[in-house]
Amino acid sequence: MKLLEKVVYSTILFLAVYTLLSITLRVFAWTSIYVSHLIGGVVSTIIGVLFFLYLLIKKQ
Amino acid sequence: MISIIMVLVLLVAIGILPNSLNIIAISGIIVILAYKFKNMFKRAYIYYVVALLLSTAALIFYENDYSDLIFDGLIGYSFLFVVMISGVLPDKWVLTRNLKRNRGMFSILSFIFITPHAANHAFGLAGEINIFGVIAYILMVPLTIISFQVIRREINNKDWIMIQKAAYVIYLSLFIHLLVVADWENKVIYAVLFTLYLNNKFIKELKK
Repeated sequence: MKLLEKVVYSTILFLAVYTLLSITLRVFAWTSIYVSHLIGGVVSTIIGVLFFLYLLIKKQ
Repeated sequence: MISIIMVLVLLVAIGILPNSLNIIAISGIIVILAYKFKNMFKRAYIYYVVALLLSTAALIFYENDYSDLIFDGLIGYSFLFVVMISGVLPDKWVLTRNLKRNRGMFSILSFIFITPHAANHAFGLAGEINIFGVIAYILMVPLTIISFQVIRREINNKDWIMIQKAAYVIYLSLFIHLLVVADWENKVIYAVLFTLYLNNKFIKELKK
């Protein structure tokens, strides 16, 4: 898998997790708007970066 | 050289300089230390532990005036600025070679010191959040992790070099962040530094 593909897949995962998590938190009114973005951003960054590192380190 | 370091430390400690000049002074201290002790990277983990302790102390003793050096991102950005300028200085200089040997360690230290500043603003403890700062911080996370030798060994060399190019996006994002949030006396200095960096980088790339 080329590097660009790894970046694209990781970015898609980051955006998907961020969107899903922050919208879920707001739809059920569990948090305020700002806190939903904060939690969504932190969790999606961690998941996205870990997935990217996994793709980088994984042997073909 | 020790006397220059002492003068710079004194200037920063007294607190008479604006933030931009504090960054230049701290960068000067780092550059002089890198010139004098070219093998600092061999004890990198000791510096990481010290940086973590200082960052944690800054969070605990946030009311202390010296915590502002970490909370305002001054020390973090100084390390990153040194990494930036190591890319524009002439390769044949001894200073450039010494800086390049240590720049992986400096970029990790930069991330460690910038984290309290990011956390401070993210959790609303010190003013609003800025989107360019957020972008820069998010991009710094993977670049910092792959800078550790343990991870670097597992990654293809060509891929690693390509990923490091994302550092230019971080530099641009950070400069815009500084220009947006700073007051006028600092904006001018940041704009001058940015222009000098771009100018020298273009000249160096065109000469290749």
